[in-house]
Amino acid sequence: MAKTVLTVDDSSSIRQMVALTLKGAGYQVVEAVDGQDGLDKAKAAKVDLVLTDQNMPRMDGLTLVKSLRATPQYAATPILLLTTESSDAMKAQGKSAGATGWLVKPFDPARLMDVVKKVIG
Amino acid sequence: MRAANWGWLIAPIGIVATGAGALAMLAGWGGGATVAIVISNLILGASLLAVSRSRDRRAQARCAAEVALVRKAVVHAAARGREGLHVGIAEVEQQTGAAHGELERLKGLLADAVGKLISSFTSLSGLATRQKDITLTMLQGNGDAASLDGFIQRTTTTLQSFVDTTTRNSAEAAGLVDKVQRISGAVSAVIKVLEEIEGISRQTNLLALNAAIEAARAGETGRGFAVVAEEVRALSERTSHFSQQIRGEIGTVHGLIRETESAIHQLVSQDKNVALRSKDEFEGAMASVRDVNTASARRMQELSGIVGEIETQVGHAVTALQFQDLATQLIGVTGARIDSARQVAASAPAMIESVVDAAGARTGTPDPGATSRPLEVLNQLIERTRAATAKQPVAHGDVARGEVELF
Repeated sequence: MAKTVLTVDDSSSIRQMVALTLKGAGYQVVEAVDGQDGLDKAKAAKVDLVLTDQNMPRMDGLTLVKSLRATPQYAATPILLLTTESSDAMKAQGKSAGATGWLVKPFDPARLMDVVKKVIG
Repeated sequence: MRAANWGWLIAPIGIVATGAGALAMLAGWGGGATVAIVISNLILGASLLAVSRSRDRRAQARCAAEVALVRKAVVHAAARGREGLHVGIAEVEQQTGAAHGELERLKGLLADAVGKLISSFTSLSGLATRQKDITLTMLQGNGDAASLDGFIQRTTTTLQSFVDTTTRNSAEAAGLVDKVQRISGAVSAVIKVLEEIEGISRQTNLLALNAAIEAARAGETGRGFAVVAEEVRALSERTSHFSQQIRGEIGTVHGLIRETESAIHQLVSQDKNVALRSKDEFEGAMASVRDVNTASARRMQELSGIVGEIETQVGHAVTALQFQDLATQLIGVTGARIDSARQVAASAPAMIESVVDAAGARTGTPDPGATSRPLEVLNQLIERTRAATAKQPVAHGDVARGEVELF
């Protein structure tokens, strides 16, 4: 059964590109337009990996990570930040919040695939 | 004395007004700067005038009148400056509003264009995947190509076996010819024996004839002998007759044996030649098939490589197209900067009013602290603005791929 990846980004083009990259490798992709939408969709149906942007309206990426980690079913699910933010301070916050990794945009589809395969197979 | 105190009091206000003018100049407000500097000059002039005349009590009245004139001029200048600032601020509002609208349109255009590009690349990626599947299927067909090689090998082996069998048959047939020749020799020997038998028969016939002659000379006495001689002669004739019959049959057999020998010779020669020629032709045909098969496999591999290259290029395009997200965030920051500049500009009238109040131009009572609050507000605004725009959401100056770090 194909694994499901939730991509959370307020940029539709980024969501499309993530979907293009992952669907081509056989993953199912669910899209969310911001952190709150991502949280709702993650709670509605269990996903195997969350790929989230940081700067989004309503709820940012770090808050989403903290909210998901507070949910038992997502205590150990891989969560990757995919953002233009690249400061060490932000990465430290991400790590502290419980993120699995930090990917700086723009992403290379092949590298994204490598990381996704590494964390969920 | 009173005029001197007032002069020393308003002198710092004039300096503050000069500062406000400089600030307005920095904020890009030429009109605001001009008004502030005019005010500061008037105030400084008034203060100097007041100080210089303070020692002359006789000129106090005249000084008071001039201060009143200055105050009136300050209020007038402030009113004009206010009008100019309001016009300028209205223009700034209009321009920044238009800039916001244009930035939004730019974001929309980018989103639309990139959305279509992504859609195109998605289709391209799908087509490349299909092409790859087809290529793989064809390459697996070449795995049938591998089995085609196996088929060629098996067929060649079978044909070789056929040629070997034919060659062996030819060799055996050559042995058969030898046997036939030996049979032919045996038949010839039989014919020679028949000739011997025929010779004996002729001699026997001659002896029987001589015996019959001698029996006739003996008369009655040789009558019995004559009967025997006749029987011997009859036997000799029968023998000769059978011998000729056998010679005829043997001749026929001999002829048939020679025909058989010739037929076997011809058959052996034809079988071997045809087999060898067929083998050569087959090997040539199979070599051609193998070459075509190899070339086909090489083309498939090249095609597979091209499909891989298409996927790589689509990947690069996907990376590059993320400029839209980066550009959109930069546009957002630019919009925030424009808003900040607009707010800073909007604070200029309050600054002017505070300078007028500090000079006491309206009330007649100078209020040096009047500029403190607008300055404080302005500083807070500038701090907020810098804090809001200090965070740079886009770290990259280009669309090269970003780094990856797993915790």
